[in-house]
Amino acid sequence: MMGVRDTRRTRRVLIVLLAAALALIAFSYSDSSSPVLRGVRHVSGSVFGGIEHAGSSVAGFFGAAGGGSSGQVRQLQAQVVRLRAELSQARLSDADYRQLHKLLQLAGTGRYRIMTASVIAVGQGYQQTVTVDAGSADGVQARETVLNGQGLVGQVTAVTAHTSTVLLASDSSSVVGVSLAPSGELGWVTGPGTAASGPSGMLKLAVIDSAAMLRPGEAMVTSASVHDQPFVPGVPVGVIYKIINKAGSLTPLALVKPYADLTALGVVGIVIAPPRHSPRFSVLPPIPHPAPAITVTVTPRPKPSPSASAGG
Amino acid sequence: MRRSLLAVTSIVVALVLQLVVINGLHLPGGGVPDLVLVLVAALAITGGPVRGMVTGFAAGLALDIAPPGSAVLGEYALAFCLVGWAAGKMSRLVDRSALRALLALAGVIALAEVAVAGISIGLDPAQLSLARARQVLPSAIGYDLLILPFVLYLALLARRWAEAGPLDSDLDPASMFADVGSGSRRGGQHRPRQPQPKLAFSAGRPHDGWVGTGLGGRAAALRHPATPHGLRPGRGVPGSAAGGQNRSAQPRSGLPAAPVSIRFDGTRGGGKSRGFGVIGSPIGAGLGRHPHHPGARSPLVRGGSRGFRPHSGTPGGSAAGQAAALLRRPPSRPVSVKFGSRRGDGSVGRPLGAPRPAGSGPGLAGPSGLDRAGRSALGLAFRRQAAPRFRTGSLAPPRSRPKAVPKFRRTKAGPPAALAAGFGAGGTVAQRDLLSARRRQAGAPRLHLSAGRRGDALFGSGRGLRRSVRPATPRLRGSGGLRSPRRTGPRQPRFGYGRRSLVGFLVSRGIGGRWLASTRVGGRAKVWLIGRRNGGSR
Repeated sequence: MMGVRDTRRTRRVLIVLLAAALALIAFSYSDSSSPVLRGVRHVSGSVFGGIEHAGSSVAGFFGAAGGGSSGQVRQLQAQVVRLRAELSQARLSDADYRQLHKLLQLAGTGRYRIMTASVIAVGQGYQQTVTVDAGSADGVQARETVLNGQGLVGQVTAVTAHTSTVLLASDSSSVVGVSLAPSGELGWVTGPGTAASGPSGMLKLAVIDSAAMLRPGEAMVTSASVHDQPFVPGVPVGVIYKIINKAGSLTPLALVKPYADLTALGVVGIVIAPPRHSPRFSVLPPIPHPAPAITVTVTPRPKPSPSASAGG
Repeated sequence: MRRSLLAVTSIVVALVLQLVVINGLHLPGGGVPDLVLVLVAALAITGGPVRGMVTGFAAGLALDIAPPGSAVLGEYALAFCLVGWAAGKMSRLVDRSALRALLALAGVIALAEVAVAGISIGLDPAQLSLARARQVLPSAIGYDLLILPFVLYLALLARRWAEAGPLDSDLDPASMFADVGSGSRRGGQHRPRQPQPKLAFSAGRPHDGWVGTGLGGRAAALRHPATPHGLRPGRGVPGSAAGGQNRSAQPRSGLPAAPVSIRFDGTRGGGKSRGFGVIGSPIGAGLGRHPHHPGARSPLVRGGSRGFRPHSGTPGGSAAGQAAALLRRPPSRPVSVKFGSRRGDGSVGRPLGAPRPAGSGPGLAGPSGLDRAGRSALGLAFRRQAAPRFRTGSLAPPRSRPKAVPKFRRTKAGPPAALAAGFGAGGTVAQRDLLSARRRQAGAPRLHLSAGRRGDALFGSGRGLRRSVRPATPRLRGSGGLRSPRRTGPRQPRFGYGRRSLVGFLVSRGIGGRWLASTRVGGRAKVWLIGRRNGGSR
C-alpha cells in the first residue's frame, strides 16, 4: 500500500483548490488587466518585493563575496571573512558604479531621462521577466523602455509601488520595432531565436522589406513607437549575428545578438522621459572596424628562471 | 501549528531564494532547479495529501503573484496543488524506505515539470515554444532531482522537530490517533504520517478492525452515550475488545478517573459500521495451552455473556486504546498503552492496575469472555517519535524476547490470585478481581501482545522489525475465518468512494504493486489490519 486513499475530505479539498486555481487562471486569462488582479499583484508586489529586495541585497553580498575561506587557519578565518566582505563590498559598488556610469553615459548621449533601478528578482519558469526595485513611487509607469549600459533590456509591463516587472526583449511575447543602422531598414525583433546550433540568448529579426539585404554585423536601434511607448527611439538593440534564409520565407530573417546581456542584468535604467528628438543612430556603440577576430599567439620569451635567481 | 509555521516560513524562504538567486543562475543545460516545487513535494510527502495540497496551492499562488509573477495568475497554484496531492498520497513511503520515497518523488517532480511546461504552452503559446521546453526540461528536472534528497531530508528533520517537542502541548495525541484510526477525517487536524504508528487503512470491510477510533467505534459510542465505558458486551468477537476511543462520549473531566476502558464493543449496525476498534482477545493470550497456536480455540473462553458472539466481529479483530487521551497526562500515567518500536513490543502496560479514584464507572467490567488466545493486540500510544531515517536497513535485530506470543505477563508480583484464577477458570474476569488487582499496585498485570505467531494480530512490531525476520511476519491465517492477506491481494478500503483515482492506481500498481500487496499486512508496521473478516459465522 503506498498511496494514501483519498478520503472524502481530501477529495473535497482537492476539488476546491483545483477549482480555485482554475477560476484564477480563467479570470486572469480573460482579463489580465482587471483592477482586481492589478490590486492583488500590487499588494503582493509590495509584500514580496520588500522581501526580495532584502534577499537580493543579501544574495548580492554573498554572491560577490564568492567562494569560501576553506582551508584557512581557524584563527585567521574571522579576519579573512571581514576583509573579504569589505573587498566584495568595494567590488560590488565598483561594479555598480561602472554600470551606472555607462548607463548615464548612454542616457546622456541619447538624452533620455532615466530612473535607475536594480534587478532584484528573476521570473520563474519560462518567462523572461525580472523585477526591478523602482516603482510608481519613483515615477515609473507601465510601458516604458528599460535599458542598461549596453543597450535595450525590455519594457515595463507592471508597476507596483516600489517594484516593476520588466519583460525582457528575449521573451517570446516581446516584439521590438527596430531600424537597421546604416540602411534604415525597418523590422522587428522578437523573442529567443531558435537556432539549431549556436549560442543561446539570441533574438530573431525580421525585416519588412523583402528585398532588403542583411549582413552580419549590422547594428540596429529601436525605432520609435507610437507616443514613444513602449520603446523610445534610438536605443541600441543588437547586431546581426547570422542570416537565416529559410526557403519560402517572405522576408529575410536573421539572428540578432543583443548588446545587453539579458541573462546577467544588474543596474538598469527605465526611461521615464523620452528624448525630444530621436537620437537616430548616435547612441550606437562605435562599430569595431577591424571586426575580424584576431588570433594572437603569445610565444613565451625565455626568461631567467626564478629558481636560478632564488638559488643565487 | 508549529508545523504550519514551519511550512510557511520555509516556503517563503524558498520562494525568495528561487526568485532572487536561483532563477538568475546560469547553469549548463539552460534549466534551473525549482526549489519551491521540490519543497512542496517534500512537505507533501511528509505531511499527507491534504496538507500537501494546501501547501502546494499556497506556494504556487505565492509564486504566481510574487513579482515578477507569472503571466497567468494561478498556473503554478494549479500545478503545485496537484503536486502536493500526488506527493501526499505517497506519504506512507517516506516512513518505509527513503529510496522508494525518493523515487516516487522523482517521478512526481518530473511530471510536475512537464506539467508546468505544458500549462505554460497551453495558456500562452507565444511564451514558450516546444523546442525550448524540450531543451530546458531535462536539465531542469535533473537539477530538481539533484536537490531533492537534501530538501526531503530537511523536511523530515523539520517534521521531526515539529513533532518532537509539543507532544504535551499543542500536538494533541488524541486527534493524532483519531486521525490515524479514522482515516484523517477530522477537519483541520490532519496529522498525517507519524513515523511510528503505521496504521494503514487496510481494513475496508465492515467489522474490520481498526486501530484507533474507527468510524464505527465512534458512531457506536455516540449511539450509546450513556453507557459507561467498560467491557461492554457488544457485538464483538469472543475475545475481542474495543478501545474506548470515543472522546466525545467520555467526559473529559473523567479522564483521570477513567484511565482505561477497554471496551468490547461493536455495533449491531453490521455493514454500516466499519472499523470497530476491537481488541482481539488479548488477555487470554498466553494462558492457553497452545502458546504457539494462540488462535486455537481456547477452552478458557466461552464468552459467557451477550457480549461475545462468535459471529459478529472479527476473530482477533483489532484494537483500540484509550491511550490518546491518556498520553496527555504523562505524570500520573495511569496507563501506558504502548507501541514499542521493537518486535513484540505492542504492550498494554498496566492498564488494569492503574489506580483511579473510586466511583468512576469505566473499567474492565462486565463479563469478559476473553477468548481465542492471542489474536490481536492493542496499544496505541507512541511515546517516541521515530527519527526519520535515511536508510533502508533496519535497526538492531529484534530483541530476544520470549516467544512472540501474546502474554499476560506480570511485572513484579503475581497477579492477584483471583485474577489468575479468573482467567484460568474460563476467562471471566470479574470486576472486583480487577479492582483488587488495581488496588495492589504491585501486581499490575501487563498485557504483552506480540506479533509474530500465526494468528496473531499484531501490533507493536514496529520499525525494528526486519522483513527478513520471517517468523515475525504475521500471518493471519490458519484459523477459520481469516484469510491470508497474501492471497487476498491489495485490498482497497472503501472510504465512501469505490473508485480509485488514477494516481492511486498507478501508485499502487506501477510502483511495486506486488511488494505493496505483500506488505500490506505485515510490513514493518504490523499494525495494520487486524483480522479480516471473511463474513459469516464460524
